[in-house]
Amino acid sequence: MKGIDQDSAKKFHDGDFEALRNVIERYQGSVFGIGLKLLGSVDDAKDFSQDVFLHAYEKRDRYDPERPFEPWFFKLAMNLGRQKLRNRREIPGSDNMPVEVIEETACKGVLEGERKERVRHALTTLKPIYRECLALRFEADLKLHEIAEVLGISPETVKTRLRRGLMAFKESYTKAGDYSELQKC
Amino acid sequence: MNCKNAEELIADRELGLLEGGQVNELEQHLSECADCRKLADEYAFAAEALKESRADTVPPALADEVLAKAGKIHGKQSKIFRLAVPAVAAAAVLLAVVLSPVFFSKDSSDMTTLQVLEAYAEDFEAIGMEDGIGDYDTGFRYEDFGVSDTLTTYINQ
Repeated sequence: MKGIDQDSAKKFHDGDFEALRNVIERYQGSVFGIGLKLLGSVDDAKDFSQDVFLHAYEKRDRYDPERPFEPWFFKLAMNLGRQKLRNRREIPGSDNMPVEVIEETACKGVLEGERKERVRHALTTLKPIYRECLALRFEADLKLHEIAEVLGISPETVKTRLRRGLMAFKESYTKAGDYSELQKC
Repeated sequence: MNCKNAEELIADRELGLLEGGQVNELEQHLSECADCRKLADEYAFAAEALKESRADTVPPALADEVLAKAGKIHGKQSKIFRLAVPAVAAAAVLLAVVLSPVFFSKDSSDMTTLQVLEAYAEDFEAIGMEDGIGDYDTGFRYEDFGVSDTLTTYINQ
């Protein structure tokens, strides 16, 4: 992924306020998206995003400006995400989001937002370890070895989690009846 | 290749993780297996939904709210810095003045305690604090610190 340049990262480390603005502008989409995929609601994703940027700013002296910015930044983000999931005492695979039933007659008019909501719901049924890998792949566009660095696991483990995560997502998203209906939309 | 292996490769393909030789292998299997072709359609559909669900928009106030909160942190840190630096500097100057006789006037490494005290006195005089030393002379009594008369006499000698 194309992140901020090393010069901006160094300025961020030094507490430059403009550099913080650059970081927010560059990563707010990814961070918000990760929040949505991990936590499942817009409000939670917004709180998560704020926390990530503020926490990064407060802990910026822990970032080594000689090293790439993204692994440090996304590691911090994922740690916060995990903490929020722990605070919720979320049980992997639990069904804690209301299922939205798409009316047959409204199928043609299914809004993009509803589809995204369905995706988010399907994601909440996955184990968090799969969810975080998919979020880093599909929201932050991180490569296999970058995800491995962020999560502190091997690239092979990342590959396995991504594969299993996608399998589980496909099962949940295209579960009986929904797939044919969604395909029409 | 069996259908279980094929499913893994289908998933890898949608994740962009398929390696060179595996592409042909998978294509070959799909051309022969209708069930896996259906499965491949479902995976493509699910992966597409994941890609399309990217957060292309963020709450409009997000950046402003973060910057406002970060500004408070930034301001707080600057304020601490503004107050702390002069305070530390003032303390350092005061300490330097008080300890200067010890560090700068004479080399005290081979001096007796009495010689060190005399050196203090000379330096205090030199910087105009002789009145303070006078008070020190008249006001100080070993007895106040629990030292016996015998020992006091010995020390004074």
